[in-house]
Amino acid sequence: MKLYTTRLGEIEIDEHKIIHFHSGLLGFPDVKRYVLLDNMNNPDIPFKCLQSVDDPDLVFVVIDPQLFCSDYNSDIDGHDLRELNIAGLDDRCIVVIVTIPHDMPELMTANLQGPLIVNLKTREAKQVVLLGEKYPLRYPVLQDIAVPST
Amino acid sequence: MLILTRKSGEGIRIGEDISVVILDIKGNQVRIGIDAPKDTQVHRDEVYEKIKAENIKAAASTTEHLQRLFKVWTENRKGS
Repeated sequence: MKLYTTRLGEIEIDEHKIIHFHSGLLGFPDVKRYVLLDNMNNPDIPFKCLQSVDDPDLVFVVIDPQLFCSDYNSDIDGHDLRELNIAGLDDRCIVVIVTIPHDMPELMTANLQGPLIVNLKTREAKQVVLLGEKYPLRYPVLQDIAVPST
Repeated sequence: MLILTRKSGEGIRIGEDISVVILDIKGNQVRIGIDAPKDTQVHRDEVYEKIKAENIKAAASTTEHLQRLFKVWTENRKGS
């Protein structure tokens, strides 16, 4: 189906790939259907867009947290996955939302405290809130990528 | 707001499927146990508000931000 979006223009989406957030995202409880758009004209860019199907204005930039926090997914696996009835690790996709400061995109941060977990089989998803202090709300994404870890 | 007085070990039922139990009271801290259906989100107030505010901020990105972000990313990768 064709989807008109404010930021990305008119795009073609596969209806079977629509993701359902039954509780919405925090702050957006009524927006429940999204699509995750992989390739934004450049396969080298790891960012994806989580575009609302119902609100053309609403899009989030997301990224795979494993790119800069290699332990991240294994720290989440457990009760949050059971909650979405995710049986195996191949059935899930975990992304985090990126916040881009208006004037300084290089200071972009990723919200590691409230990741989005998708069950790839059922296409159901949820924004979960991680307990504890280990993963911050604003993690500076470029900092770690620019400096190779030793 | 409905205000109820409860002792440790006592509970409150909200609708058919949510129950809240006071587990322990120590000084000015109360431990609360909550049983709710899995699609009901339960969060500490302050954490919930922070993530909500961050989501709203993240959603404010414009096309221009996206393009700049990709540019910065690509340049950063080349430089590293």
